[in-house]
Amino acid sequence: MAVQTRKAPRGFHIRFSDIAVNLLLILIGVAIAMPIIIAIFTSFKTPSQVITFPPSVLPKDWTLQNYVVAWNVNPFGRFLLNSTIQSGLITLAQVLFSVMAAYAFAILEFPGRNALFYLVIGSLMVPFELVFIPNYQLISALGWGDTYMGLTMPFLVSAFGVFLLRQFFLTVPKDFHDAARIDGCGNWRYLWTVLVPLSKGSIGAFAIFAFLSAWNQYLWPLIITSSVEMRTLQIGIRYFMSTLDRGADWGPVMAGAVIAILPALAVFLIAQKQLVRGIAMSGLKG
Amino acid sequence: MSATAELTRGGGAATSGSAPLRKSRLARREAMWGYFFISPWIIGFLIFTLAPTIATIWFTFTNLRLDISAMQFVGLANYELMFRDAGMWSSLLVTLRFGLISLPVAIFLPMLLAVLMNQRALFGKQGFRTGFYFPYIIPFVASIFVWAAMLNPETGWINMFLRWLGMENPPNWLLDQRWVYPALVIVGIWGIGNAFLINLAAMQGVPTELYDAAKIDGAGPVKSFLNVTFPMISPVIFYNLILVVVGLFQYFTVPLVLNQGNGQPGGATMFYNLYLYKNFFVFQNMAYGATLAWFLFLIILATTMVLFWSQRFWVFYPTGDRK
Repeated sequence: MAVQTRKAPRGFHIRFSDIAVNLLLILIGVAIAMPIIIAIFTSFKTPSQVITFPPSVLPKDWTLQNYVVAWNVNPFGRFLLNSTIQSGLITLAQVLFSVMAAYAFAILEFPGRNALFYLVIGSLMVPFELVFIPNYQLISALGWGDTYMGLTMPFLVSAFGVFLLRQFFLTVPKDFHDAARIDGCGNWRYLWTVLVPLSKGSIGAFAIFAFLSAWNQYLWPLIITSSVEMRTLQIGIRYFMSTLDRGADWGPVMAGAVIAILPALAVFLIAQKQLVRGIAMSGLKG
Repeated sequence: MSATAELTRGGGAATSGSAPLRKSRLARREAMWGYFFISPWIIGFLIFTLAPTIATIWFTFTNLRLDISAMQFVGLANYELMFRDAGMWSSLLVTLRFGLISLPVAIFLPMLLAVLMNQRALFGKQGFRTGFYFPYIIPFVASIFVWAAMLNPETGWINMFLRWLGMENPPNWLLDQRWVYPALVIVGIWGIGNAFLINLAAMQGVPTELYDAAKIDGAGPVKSFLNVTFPMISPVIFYNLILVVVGLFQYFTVPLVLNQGNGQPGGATMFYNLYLYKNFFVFQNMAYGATLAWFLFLIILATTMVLFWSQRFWVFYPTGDRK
C-alpha cells in the first residue's frame, strides 16, 4: 500500500494529512518570517504610522526618511566598508590556509600527521573566553588595536575549515593523485588545478560559512576597536541603536537593522544552494 | 567519532625507515610538502590559541588587572575567591535554569520541522528549506533589535496579537522575571536553521525500506518515528546536542546587547559568561576573569564527557556505515 502511493504520480493522491502538513509548515514559516517582514515595512513608515493603532503591516505613505536618518547619524558606509574588509580578509585567509592544511592531512604522509590532526580537533574545543584576553594584550602590544590587522589577525586560520575540507578531500579518489604524480604534476599544482576545482562546492560552502561568521563577530570587534571609524557594522549598529529612544524611533532602528541584514542576505541568496548542501554534509560527517 | 576512524587511514607508511634510498627521498620530499602546507595553520594556532590558553592558566595564579608589568603571583587566591563568590554561583544557576528551558526547544523544534518537511507530498520543498534556514544568517545584533520591537509590551506585535486574542494583560516580556526566559527562547528560534538542516539531511538519508518494513509490522507514524527515524538519526541529534549544550554554557551576547548586560530583570539575565565579561571589562579584573573562564571550560568539558558517555544508551551507530 505504502509502496503504491509512493510510486503514484504526484498530485493524484492528495490526502487530508498532506494538506494539514503543508498548512502547518506555512503557518510556522509565516510566524518565523513575520518579524523580518514587519521590520522591513516598519523601516519605510513615518513616525506617526509606526505607533498607530490598530497597526498595519504595510506603510500608508512610503518614506525613505528612516534610512536617511540612520545613514546620517552614523557613518554606515564606513561600517559596511570595515565589515567587508574584515570579513573578506578573514575569509580569504581561512579558505587558503584551510585548503592547504586539509590537503596535507588528507593526501600527504608525514611523521606526526595524526598527532597534529588531533591538535586541530582539540583546538575546536577551546572556547573564545579562554584566549581573548592574552590575544587582546598581544594585539595591543603590537600596536594593532583599532586597525584592520587587529580585527583580522587572530582569525586567519580555522580548525573547523581544516576539518571540514579534509573530510571532503578524503572522498576524492587517491588514484587521481597517483596519476597526477606519474604525469609529473607536483603537489602545489595538483592541489590548485585538480583538487580545488573538484571540490569547488565544499570550498564554496566553507567560504560562505567563514564569511558569515566573520560578519557576525561581535565580542572581538567590540573590544579591539575604539574609534567610530573602525567599528564593524555589528558594533556600529549597536551604538546607533543605543543613541535612539526605543519605542519612539522604531523606524530608524528597523532601517538600521535592515541595512545590517542586506549584505548577509545578498551572500546567502547568491550561494544558498551550496551553503545548504555544505551544512548538511558537515553535520553528517561531524 | 568518524574523525578517529579516518585518522588511522593510510597513516604510518611514512615512518618506514628501511625503505630504499630513492623512496625515502620521495617520502622526505612529501613530508616537507606536508609541513609546508600545514605551517600557516600551525603558526596561527600557536600564536592565537595555544600560547593564550597557557597564558590564561598562568593568569589565574596572579593578580593581573590591566597593567601586565604590575602582575604578582598570588597562588590559589582567585580560586578561593571564586568558590566563595555568590555572584558566580548565581550566574551559573541562571545559566543552568535558562538552559533547561531552552535546550528542549533547541533540540526538538528543529527535529519537528525536519519531520514535517520530510513528508512526501510537499509543495515548494526548496522554498521551505531556504525559508526556515534564512533567519540563521541574520546578524544577531539586527535580529535582537527586530525582536525587541516585536516584544515591546505596548507597541510590539506579539502583545497586540495577544490583546486581539482577548488577553487583557499580556506579559511585559523583557522586564518580567517570569517571562524573560520564554522571551529569550523566542529570540533564539531564529537560530535553529542549522540544526534543522542537519536533521533534515539525516532523515533523508534513512533508507525507505526501513519505513516500509515498519509499516508491514503495523507501526503508525509515531511508532515508526520512535523506532526507525529516531535511532537512525540519533548520531546527528547527538551532534546537535553537543553544539547546543556548549553554546548554552557560553550564552550571553543576546542579553549583553538586549539590555546592556545589566542583568535585568532582577538578575535573571546575569548569565555566567556575562558575569565573566563584566569581570574582564567593567571591573577589569583580568586574573579573576581568567579563573572564571577556566572554570567554565572545565564545566563544559565535564558535561561534554558525560554526554559522550551517555551515547551508549541512546545513540545508534549503524555498524560500519558512517552515514
